[in-house]
Amino acid sequence: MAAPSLFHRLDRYGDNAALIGADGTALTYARMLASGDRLAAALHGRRQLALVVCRNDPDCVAGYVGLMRAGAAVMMLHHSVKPDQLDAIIARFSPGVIYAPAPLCALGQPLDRLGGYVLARLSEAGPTLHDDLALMLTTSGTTGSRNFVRLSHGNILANAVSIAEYLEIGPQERPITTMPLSYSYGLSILHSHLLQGAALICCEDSVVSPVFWKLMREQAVTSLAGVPFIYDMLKKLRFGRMDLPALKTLTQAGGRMAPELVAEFAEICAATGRRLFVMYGATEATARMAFVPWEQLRHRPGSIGRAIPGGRLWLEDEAGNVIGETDTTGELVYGGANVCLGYAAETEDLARGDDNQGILRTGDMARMDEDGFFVIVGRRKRFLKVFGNRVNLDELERLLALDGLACACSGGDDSLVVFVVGDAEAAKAAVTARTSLTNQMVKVVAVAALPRQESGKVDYAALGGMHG
Amino acid sequence: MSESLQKYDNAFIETFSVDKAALEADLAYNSIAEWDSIGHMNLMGALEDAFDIAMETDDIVEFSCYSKGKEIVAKYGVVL
Repeated sequence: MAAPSLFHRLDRYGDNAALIGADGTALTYARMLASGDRLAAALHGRRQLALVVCRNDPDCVAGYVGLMRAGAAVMMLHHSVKPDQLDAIIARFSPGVIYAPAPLCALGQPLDRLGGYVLARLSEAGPTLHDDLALMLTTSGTTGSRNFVRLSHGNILANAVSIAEYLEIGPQERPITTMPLSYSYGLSILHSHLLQGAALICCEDSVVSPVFWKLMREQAVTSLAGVPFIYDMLKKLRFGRMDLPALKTLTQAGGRMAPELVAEFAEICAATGRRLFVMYGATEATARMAFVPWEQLRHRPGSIGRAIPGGRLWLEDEAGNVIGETDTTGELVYGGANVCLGYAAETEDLARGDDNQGILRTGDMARMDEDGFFVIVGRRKRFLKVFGNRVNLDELERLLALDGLACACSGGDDSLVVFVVGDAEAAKAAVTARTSLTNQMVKVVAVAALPRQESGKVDYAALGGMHG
Repeated sequence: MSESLQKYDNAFIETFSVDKAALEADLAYNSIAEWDSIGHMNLMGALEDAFDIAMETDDIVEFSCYSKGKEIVAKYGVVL
């Protein structure tokens, strides 16, 4: 591994607190690395594919760090993964080992354990791995997507360095987990703070749980991150009235947040001396591509900001020409060292090198103002963000077709609508069975027939008027 | 059954698509897929609408199960 690795830079932080568990127990960097390295010694220095089933707890993180330092290529999954999905992923990629909460490790032969986590062997022969492959994250935890994003140590380090720079992260920071580590935004918080020797408070409970707020106060949490839905909940919880003197920074990403909600939190932050960062990114960019400098947020409603340090953003027209003029819509394209190697849908893809060469076409349509700030005006492809989960509408339609359902999926962020010919209840059951979306995340409308254009394609514009 | 208790139960039944037996077994946060953090906020909204109350933060986060919730709405003058 010639590429510089974030995980090999952590020894210098020795006695700093690295991870704090929900029970308040702190693990120093030295102890985290000793635990992780001891665990990963079970790999005997052989590079292999390791499946990590994530929970927001110190044992999980210490093991992940150890596996990364031992040169494993790590594939991240959330602990809510359904057993048949986990089996399918193991069958498809034949990972050598799995690191997961003990009950799940019945799948393999146990090698070692760390607290409630077990490292177990799944197979002796593993897939062929490209030298640069370090990490794989799903693009969509929800649609049971076959796609993983392939990331390198270079990607991880570049994005962490950039994020730490613009958020001005120092060793005194104490963020708390609000999202899974298997999600690129959640993982970026871990990476950017490890880079700087800061301490992460690990909490599996959400913002509607008393445990979360107890930790916020007792652990003097300094920063909080959220997708738009988390901000909806914070608003409902009357966040503005809470006494949280240690809290200095809020960040938001994971889809567009309503400008009124951004404005409301900008006001709260201004009144309490906090910084609010509205940010933009994608798993394909490791996590982050753009941010709005916090001082300018109130003058930039609806903007995703400018490229992060070390990155570039520009617009291209249909023909692929760069658009130089302001206020002209084009596809947003990003260039930087954090652009992923590519995708992996099959075992053979793990041997692939860098398909992207540092350039990512985002699929978002945007405009640029005269100060170089970008505003997204739509999407080129049919993707929605549903409560922080990316849903590919075309893929969801294909999955439902497997159940014999004629469906058209539509709607907006946080308002997915499935139009079905026939039984709405059956369609709802199919959506929840085929994805990890829950009943309340999806609206199903029964229709007599799907409206079609003359070409035979579903007429989504006409569907918009059929919200029953 | 009082009209208030009926309303209280209905908030759970409609939000989570559960039956009465689940409530009698003291349905709890995170015990079913529907009662996750999103479901929780939907339930709080349904109860606030049903009883025309506005719950405090501490009450929202301590609303951990069906029976605990009864104590909490009682603080807002709801007689079940």
